[in-house]
Parts: sequence; structure tokens; C-alpha cells
Amino acid sequence: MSTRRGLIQAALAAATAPSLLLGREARAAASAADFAAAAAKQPLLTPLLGVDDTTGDRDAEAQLLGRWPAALRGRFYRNGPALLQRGGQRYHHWFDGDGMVQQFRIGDGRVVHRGRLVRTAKLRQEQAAGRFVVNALGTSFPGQPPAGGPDSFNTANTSALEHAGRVLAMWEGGSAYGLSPEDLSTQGPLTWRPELAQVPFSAHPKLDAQGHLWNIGSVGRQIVTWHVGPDGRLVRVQLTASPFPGGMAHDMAVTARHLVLPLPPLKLDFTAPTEGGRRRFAMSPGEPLRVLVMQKDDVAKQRVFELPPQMLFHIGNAHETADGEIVLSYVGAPDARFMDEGAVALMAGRPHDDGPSEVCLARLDMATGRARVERLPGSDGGVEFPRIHPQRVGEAARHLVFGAAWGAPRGLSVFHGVQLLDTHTGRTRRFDYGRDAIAEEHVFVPKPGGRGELDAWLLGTVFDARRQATVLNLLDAARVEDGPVAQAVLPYVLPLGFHGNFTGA
Amino acid sequence: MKPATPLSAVFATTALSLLGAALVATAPAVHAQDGCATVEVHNVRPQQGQLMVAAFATADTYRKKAVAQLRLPAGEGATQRFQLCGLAGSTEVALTLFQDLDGDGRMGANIVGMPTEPWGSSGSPGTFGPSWETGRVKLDGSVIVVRMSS
Repeated sequence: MSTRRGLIQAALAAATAPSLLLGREARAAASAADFAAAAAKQPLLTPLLGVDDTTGDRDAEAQLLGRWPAALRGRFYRNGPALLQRGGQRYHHWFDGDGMVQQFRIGDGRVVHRGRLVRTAKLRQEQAAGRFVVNALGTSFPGQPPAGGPDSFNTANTSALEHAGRVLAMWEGGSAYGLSPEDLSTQGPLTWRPELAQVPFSAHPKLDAQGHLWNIGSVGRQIVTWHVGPDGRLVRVQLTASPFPGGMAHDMAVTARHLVLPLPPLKLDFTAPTEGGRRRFAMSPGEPLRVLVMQKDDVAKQRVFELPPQMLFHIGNAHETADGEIVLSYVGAPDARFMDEGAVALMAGRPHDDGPSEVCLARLDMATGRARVERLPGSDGGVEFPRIHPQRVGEAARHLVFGAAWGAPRGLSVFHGVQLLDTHTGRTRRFDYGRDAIAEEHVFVPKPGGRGELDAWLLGTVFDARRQATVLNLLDAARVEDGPVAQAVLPYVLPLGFHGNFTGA
Repeated sequence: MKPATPLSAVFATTALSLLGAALVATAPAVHAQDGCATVEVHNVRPQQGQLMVAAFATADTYRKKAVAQLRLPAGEGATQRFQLCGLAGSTEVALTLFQDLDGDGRMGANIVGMPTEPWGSSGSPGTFGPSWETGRVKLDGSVIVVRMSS
């Protein structure tokens, strides 16, 4: 999930303010009709119309522009909330939508796209009913039976990763769903063992250089840790008590010996009544940003660090230093207004100020328990979606790439560009996709035979409002500022997504 | 995400014993003075295992000591109606149910205590599990309606 700071905010303010009711009524959730009217006036909103479950499948060969390197071969996956409305119903909160996995097959001079909704139990139930019936994160449907467990409302909508011959479509609160890499058909929840049914497998597992997959899940007072081997078999599941019970646990890092789990002071109350999608997320005043560091081989051996209060969705990386520190990079924010307000405003198609965000580096002293936090430059307009070179996961990584915005307001999404940060020098390099574009997460793809972090491409999608098309972009990590060296233009618009990963062929 | 309440604590104590409460399909609601009430359960998985029913009469005994228990095979339809007896002397009651799909007499749960078999409660249990407050209903002759989890 992203903190899409002010996504579309200025653009909407400029283009749609008269029609979007900036007074009290603007605080109400949008109906499907309201949103359609807004989208008709603002081309940037098209991706938020989403897809429906009868015409949601997408298959096309992209139009190629520029030079796609022959050495780049593989499958790029993305995931995000895609089914956002049924009939006249429209979800209030962006995170409510049903997940849709996008696959871009790259190679042999072609880029072939396939998109499929994840056929979750929740989606099948609502297909049968012909309407939304399952309570979602920010939208309630009163009078429904109690939930059998989190997988009964699991939307599998947050990230996608191919591992050990299957695609994992991941959410935060329940099982990952398995999909076929061949045709993206849904295989069902991945539980490995019966007693692990419905146990949360969060959306940000870390794949180390040896192919081991590490992950966490948060269940009230407990934290679950997962270790899946390179062959896809479950190696070990461990449980430990959460130092912040009931708090959000979204992303995690892995080092050579540790699992590093930030626990921001944010709580979600799924039972609270919503006000048009709001009021279920709240920062806990006076609570610090905790970082739970656990030994991989025995999570009971742990240390909890307390950092100044900050909201945190995503980490960049973590690594251990020779002098006993763990260095953790992440994107921090002063509050969670995006969760409580921004993601609701987005669904209503109205502007919103999500506040600042910044790149932080925390140094966690494992011997003393002390922590220092350093703010890094390059966050003047807001950043999110931090990613690193995949072969540096858990090791020292110098460069981070982000979705970013900068400069004076120009009537566009804050996420109009991609930005590379050199954490050693503080230097940033950027490429601006322009005022008619929404830039999404970009990932590092190592060049074959490359050794350095910047011997890589950056791969990411952009919604081009002028073309009314989703475009896959390839940049050279060493020359980000030059912009795409190649593009693949789809003949349609994909719903905005959250996260993804590349798997080499 | 907020967790599910560990319902295994409700059901995982012992196999529920059959207490001789009569199973009377489509029986009319019966007043509590008779010691029986009619229960209607929705969203039953037809012909899969047994419904396990426990009735609690006070907040202090909720989930600890049942005043009545019953198990009966899941029927052919998704809605099942039966009579639950043994309630004499109670003015209100909270029912907890699970559908024992695997026939082991216990409510299935994963390693963190979330139910892996359908569950239900009288009253308005909400999304994440019942309590005495959300589950209690008056024994006034009305049919007690329970919806099993989705």
C-alpha cells in the first residue's frame, strides 16, 4: 500500500473543484455515479474507475517504443485494488478493492500483458450475490453473517511476487493467494499446513539472494514470522508477542541474522463504525515508532527499539554493520492522514493534502538498545514506494528508488516522477513523467552480468492521461534523469496498483 | 488488521455432549417456562459434519459452564431449525455454535486461535466473535436466530 501523498490532489483542485463540492458534502463518500461524473471531467481519474468482474480480464501485446534490451527477459508483476464498484455501489476506501494481478512478460522483442482479478472466496461470494456484501476495511455492509476469519474478506490486493513456480497475491491480514504464472488462474489460499489456515502472510516478504522468502503477519497480540525455502516449502513458522498489540505491521526488513519489523503507533479498529470510509485508523498519541528486531532462528531472542513517533508504511532495507548496528531505511510521515482521509478522498475523486513524508535512516544499536534517526535529503515534495537492488536485500544498499514529487504545485499528482537517492552523498536524481502522468512504484531489475547497484534497469508503470493508457517504462538506473529508454504502451488503462516484483526468465 | 477473537477458547474445551434436547424440525417456538426454545440456524454447510450448540445463561458462566448443549447432524439445507431444551429457570441465554466439519468434536483453530470451522452466535456477534453482551437474547418464546459465519 502506498502513501500516495496527495495523489491527484492539485490536479483535481484545478480541474474539478467546481464539480467536486469542496464544502461539507465533499467529506461524504462518493457514489459510483458521483465518481463517474468526476472522472468524465478529470482524465487522471480514469484508473480509479477500476474493472468489473465480467470484463476485468485484460490481455494484450503492448506497443513498443524505444529500445527494449534483448538481455531483459522475465515477468514483471503488479497488484492493486481493481474492482472498486459494483452496480451503484462504490467502495469508500481505496484499499477495499479486490486485487488484480498484472503480469508483463518481457522478452523476444515483445511485452505481453495479462491482468486477472484474484478469484478470492470474497470475490466469488459477491459475484454470486451480484453486489458487495462483505465488510471491507473502509466500507461496511450491515446485516451480514459474521466473518469465518480473515480470508473471508481477504482481497489479495497489495502485492504480487513469483516464487518457487507460483505467483503470490498478497494482502496484509490473511493468507497469500497462489496463482499460476502461466495464465494467472487462481489456485487458492496458500497455507502450507492446515493449522496455518488464515494466518496472516503480509504483503511485503523479503526474498534474499539465496531465494529464501521471509515474512511476518500480525494477529492482535501476536506476531507470526514465516520462512519459506527456495523450493517453496515452508521451513518454519514462529510466534512471538507483539510489543504493540493490535498495531499495524505492514512492512518488514531482513538482515543476515535478523528480522526487523517496524510497528508504527497506528491502530485499526475494524469494528468501529465508519464515516464514509473514515475513522477506523488512529495514531496512538504518545506512542513511539517501535522497531522489533528478532533473531531469524529464534524470534524469542529480540530487542525492541523506540524511535520518535512516526507513521511508517514502507522500509527500504536493513543491514547489519561490523560494529553491531542495524541500519534501517524507511519512509516516515508525521501522521496517518492518508490512511484515514487520503485514500477516501481518492475514491471520491476529490483533492486532499496528505502531508509530508521523508526518507529516514535509523541506526539501531543492538548492544545498548539505543537508536538514532537521521533524515535524508530529497524528500521536499514527498516520496513513497522505496525499493532497492534485489541482490542487496539484507545487505548494505547505497541506492534507493522512490515514486516522488517535487517542485511547486503544478496541478498534478505528487507522484509524477521517479527518484533515485544515493544515501552516501544525499544526491538525488529524478525523472519527471509530466503533469499528465501518475507514476507508480518502480523496481530495480539487475542487468545480466552487472555487479554494481546501478548496473540495473528501473521498471515501473505510469498512467498516461493524454494517451489514456497504462505505460510500462524502462529506465537505466545509472541515468534516471534521462527518462525511459524503452516503453510498452498498453491499449487500455489498468487500475492504479500498489506493489510488484520482477522475476527473471 | 485487527485480529479475530480467538473463538477456539469458546469451543475447544471438550466435545459437546448430547443432553437429550429434542431435535424437532420446524417445531414452533416454545416459551422458556417449558425449558425449551426454538433455534433457527442459517448459513449451515449442508450435510457436512455436525452442529455443536452450547447455551450459557449468565455473564459469569459464559463460555465456561453451559446450561444446555446439543449436537446434531447438519441437514440437507442451509437453514436448520431445532428445539433446544434444558433452559428452565433462565430468562436470557447466549448461544455459541460451531459446525464440526471434520468430526473431531472440537472447533478447528489455527495456530493463533482463529476458527477454521464455521461458527455462530445468538444476538449480534459482529464480525470478530461473540461476547455475552453481544450474544445474549431474552427467552420470551421468540425463535433464536443464529447465522453461521461466512
